[in-house]
Amino acid sequence: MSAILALTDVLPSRPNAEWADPFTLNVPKGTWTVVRTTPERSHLLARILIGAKETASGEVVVLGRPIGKVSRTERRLLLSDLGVLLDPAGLLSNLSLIDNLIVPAVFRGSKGISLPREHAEDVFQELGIAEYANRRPADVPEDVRQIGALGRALVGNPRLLVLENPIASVRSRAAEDVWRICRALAPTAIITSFRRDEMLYNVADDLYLWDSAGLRRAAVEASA
Amino acid sequence: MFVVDIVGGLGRRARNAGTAGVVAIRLSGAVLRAGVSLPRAALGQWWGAFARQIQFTAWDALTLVSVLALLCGAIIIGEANAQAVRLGLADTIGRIVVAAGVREIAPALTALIVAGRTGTAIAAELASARALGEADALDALGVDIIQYYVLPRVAGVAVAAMALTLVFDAATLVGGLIAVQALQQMSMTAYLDSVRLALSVSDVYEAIGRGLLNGAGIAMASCVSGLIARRTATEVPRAVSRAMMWSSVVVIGVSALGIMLRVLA
Repeated sequence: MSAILALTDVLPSRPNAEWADPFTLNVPKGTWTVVRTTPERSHLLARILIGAKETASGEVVVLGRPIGKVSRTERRLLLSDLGVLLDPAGLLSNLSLIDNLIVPAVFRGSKGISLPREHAEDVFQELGIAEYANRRPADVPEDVRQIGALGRALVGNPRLLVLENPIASVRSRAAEDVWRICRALAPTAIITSFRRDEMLYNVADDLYLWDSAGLRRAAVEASA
Repeated sequence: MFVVDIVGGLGRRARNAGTAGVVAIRLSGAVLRAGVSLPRAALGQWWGAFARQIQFTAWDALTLVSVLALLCGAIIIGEANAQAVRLGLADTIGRIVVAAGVREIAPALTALIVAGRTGTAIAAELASARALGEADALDALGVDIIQYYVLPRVAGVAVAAMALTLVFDAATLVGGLIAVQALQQMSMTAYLDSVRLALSVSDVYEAIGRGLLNGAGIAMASCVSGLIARRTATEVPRAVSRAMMWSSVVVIGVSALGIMLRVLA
């Protein structure tokens, strides 16, 4: 399987005690990969993957393009093919939940969406939060807010999902459903997390543990 | 050593001022590019944000600006009248109102009101967006932050500041007229004739130009001040204070540019 995301000998631009050794990882097309690590590494890794943080060395290739070396315009175009959810999720507080899905999709000129509202409504329907669609983020429970933010990443049929600590507040049973739906909507994903999440491990193909001893592959069942 | 420190300090300030100038020029270019490349589908959203900005900056401030301008015109007349009558120059009253009120005070005071009301609000909003991770989230989704946050604000505040400057100009002249009538030193016709002689079409163009420049400059300074804030809540007041300071520099700079151009012309 060809790698849709490839990190080769990556080191962050600022010296970091936790991330001192070069990091290498491939995410093949059609797989869900989870990297469980410390909060600081998880934060840095997610931002390096989307070109929001620079690297001191190594290369990050996303969908065949070196995201750290492309122009701002090319990076935006590349990001419009991804679905990204960072921690904090940063839902726009002055917009309703559904507008939080529509407005970014409209501004990035998402490909393949002719009717962003209908598409966003479908995503909310699938995720089971349609009743909250017209409420603002501050007026909905935390778990609904987190699912809404995940929905925003799913709009536009992303070729790759990049998630940082997603849906930590969602109950296990609901989380299982959410992950199943996500898996159907986005075939390839990389998830960085510092939390243990059995429901997530159940849908993942590969689980990596990244600690002071380095990056190592773990059996999904054993970790769960 | 003391002299070296002073010269070094001046050098650093000059370099920083130069850097700020370069940043301002690059940002202007980025805003123009963002305008050209705005996706068609986003036009509706963009117009909404643009209209809301004009409403907040111009419409909501109309009463305040009008009252201030009326008072401003009356104060100029009140002060100028006493001096003019004493010197036997009562027929120059209109010229004084136009020169002081319309050409200088109106654009500068309007811009300071816009900076105080709108510039600080923009800086606080964008610094909060940074603190809450909203700006980073939009960037991560491939949204151009300049298109989403900066462009509608710069365009809206520029148009609003231009409109408010013209309103301020008109209200200053009306304030002057009311004061002249109250002081009973001059007939209404004589005052209007005096103003008409002093006022030219170029004054209107200048008011429009300075209003646009002030508005765009204040909005850009405020947006930058908000967007460079670090991701903590304590950065919000700092961003607001910085926006007010930078906006004041913009207002003084535009005033100086106006005077220079008038002298050269």
